[in-house]
Amino acid sequence: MALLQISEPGQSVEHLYRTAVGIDLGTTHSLVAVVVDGTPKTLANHTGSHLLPSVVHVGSDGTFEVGVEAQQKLTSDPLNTIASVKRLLGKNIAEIQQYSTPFELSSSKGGSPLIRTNSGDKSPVEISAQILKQLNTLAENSLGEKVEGAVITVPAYFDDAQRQATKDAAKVAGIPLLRLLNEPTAAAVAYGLDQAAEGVIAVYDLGGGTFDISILSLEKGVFQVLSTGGDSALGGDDFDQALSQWILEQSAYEAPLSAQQTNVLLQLCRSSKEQLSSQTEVNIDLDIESLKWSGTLTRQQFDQLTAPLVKQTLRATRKAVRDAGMSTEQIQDVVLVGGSTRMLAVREAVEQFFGQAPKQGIDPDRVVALGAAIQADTLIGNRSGDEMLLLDVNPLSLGIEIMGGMVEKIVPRNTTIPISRAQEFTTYKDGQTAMAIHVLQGERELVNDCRSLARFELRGIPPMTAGAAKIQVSFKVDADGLLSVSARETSTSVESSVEVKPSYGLSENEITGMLQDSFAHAEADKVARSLREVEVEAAGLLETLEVALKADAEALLDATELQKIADAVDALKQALKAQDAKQITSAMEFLNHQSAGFAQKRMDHSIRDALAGRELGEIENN
Amino acid sequence: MNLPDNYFELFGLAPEFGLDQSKLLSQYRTLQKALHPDRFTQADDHQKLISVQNTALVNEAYQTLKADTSRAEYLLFQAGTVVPKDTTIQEPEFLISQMELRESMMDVEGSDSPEDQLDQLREEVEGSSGKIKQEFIGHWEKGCEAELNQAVLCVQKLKFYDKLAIELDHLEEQLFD
Repeated sequence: MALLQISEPGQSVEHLYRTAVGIDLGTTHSLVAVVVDGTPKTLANHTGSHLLPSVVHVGSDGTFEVGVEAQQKLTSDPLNTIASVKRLLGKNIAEIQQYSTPFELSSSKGGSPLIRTNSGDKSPVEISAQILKQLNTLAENSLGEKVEGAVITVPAYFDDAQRQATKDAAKVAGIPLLRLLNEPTAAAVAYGLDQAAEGVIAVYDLGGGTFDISILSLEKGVFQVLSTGGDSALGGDDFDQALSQWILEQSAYEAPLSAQQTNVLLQLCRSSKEQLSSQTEVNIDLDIESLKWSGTLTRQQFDQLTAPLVKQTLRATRKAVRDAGMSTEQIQDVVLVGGSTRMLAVREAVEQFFGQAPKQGIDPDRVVALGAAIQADTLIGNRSGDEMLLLDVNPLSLGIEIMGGMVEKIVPRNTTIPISRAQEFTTYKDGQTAMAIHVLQGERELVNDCRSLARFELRGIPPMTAGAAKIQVSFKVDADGLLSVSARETSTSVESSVEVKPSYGLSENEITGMLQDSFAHAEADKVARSLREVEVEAAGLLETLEVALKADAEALLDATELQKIADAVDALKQALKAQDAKQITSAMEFLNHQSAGFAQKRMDHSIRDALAGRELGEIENN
Repeated sequence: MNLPDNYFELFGLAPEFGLDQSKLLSQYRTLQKALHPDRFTQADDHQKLISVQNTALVNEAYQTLKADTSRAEYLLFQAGTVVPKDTTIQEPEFLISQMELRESMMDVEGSDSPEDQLDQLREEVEGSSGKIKQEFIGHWEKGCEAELNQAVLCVQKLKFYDKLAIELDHLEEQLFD
């Protein structure tokens, strides 16, 4: 049993605590949270603020400022100050041009938007990465430890491109991503654990730029999303826009607005909106570069102006309740998330719709980050996994283009993920040797009404008569909600397959380029950083293996197998002492190779346990 | 070790149309708790891959057995009978009843009490598909080839009613907006 003495003498084999954070990357604000002594907490910066404004200022020397400092430059340097970048994430230039942005946009070769700053063109991914970096630094400074993993939240209604872009931003920021988690699901986790709630709950999440509604069932630690819906381009910003339109009409100002005028007006609208959550009317006094208006806005007027937006959220809510196979009477609790749910008209509308007052309790600005921290703590292995499990769904249907510009759905919306689905298609011409596959996301029947995710061609199909070839197209959606698609010809012995991962805007090369850029200022740091990263990884591997061996070595391995693993463990420890990144990496690969058989046996064991864990007396029935 | 291929076996349930939904759900959760990728975040790539494959299978199996129509279709598939995708139903009675339902759907919007109309139509659709489910059970239990062919016809009819139910939902959405 030499193998069980992997740890240094005197060192406990108990699990080491590893720091993992939850990040709420919001349109207006972003937050970072961590679990300390079993309780999730959001972290405050040096001024005591938990909310980091999601605003990034790009200086002419290429430096970035994030947060309050950047926010202050919205009016003084509007062209180089980027707010609400989340609305641009994962979108192509054509989709964005319908919003009015104060900054200048151009298009990359791939059609993704670039923001023109006086330090060059910046992509929304790079800007988002700056926000993530700032939060990561905040966490590392206040905890005094390196962050080893993060759960980043995304709106449940984000499509594949928006999720991929968020993942890319984490990569550019150098943050090890454990999982993308849907915001309402994160909120449900924080709420459910806090209140020990059971039953069916609705999470109504109206943020700065996105709206989500999710219906979940909570039972014995399993958080199962039954349905989700929403609008990834509807949020508090739109309420500000509606009010600004109204003020412009009142002022009868005709000329196009300058960037500065736009930002001043929008900030004024936002603060007026916020005041109307606690008072019945607000005085507006606008005076910026000949755009002048002063007057009183009552709550009633504001509610009228924004009623269509509230109605739009209720429409999605009704659909989600139905998709869950529920009626509003069956919903036990309604949880409000997102700063925009402070608007009284929103609260009243939700209360009327569900016939019950929404739950108050956890701060709607923080609840998402808190839930993400709990999930991060579980995924990194600090919390026993038996306590909690999240089962989420894909928010939008996935399919491929068929004849006539129609979409054939392969994975319908609200399917629990991960999921793998295959469907068979055939050729329509004699001797056809290639087939174009166009992957789409959305609920509509026509290709033009859905989001195009990827196009690829399957070549090398043996020539046959029309309809004889059998092309199997497989869709796989992973636990992050990200899709990969493959296709192969199955009717003959010839199998050609193509695999694509839809990705927008950024190629692997571009991401690498950004990573290099961000390290360019500290070249020496790069080597140290990569050594630290593999050290952390190696320590994680040793520790996981140690726990696994302690639990199962005796039952599953013979002496020879044990010795093989023990030798590889020793080799990795030697490599760690030598502090050479390459040597550590190859020793890790060797150890993984030597312990693969053990891993397989453990996996089989867990499957057997799972099957045995079902209620007794059921298999005999078959 | 692989999970059982048969969905009923996977959940430890008898291969029958009538199924205890709460038992299906609790078995589903037990399996997910053991197999889900969240349990394997610190494992090696091979184990992660197996976990995703296992979970995907359990999800697919759960969804297939949960809904009546897909469960019926799966029972037939296990018995070696595939429900053809694009064949039309020739029974005049059934076609006439479908046409009548669709006509009533078109009248909903203009009627005095569209909500009551909708509720009534829903009840009709549920009632008719309920009857067909009973017919399916009868044919399925007898099990000979001719009976199974009748069972296939039942599944095809159920698909028509499922589609109608979805269209009723869309109609309701339009009415509310």
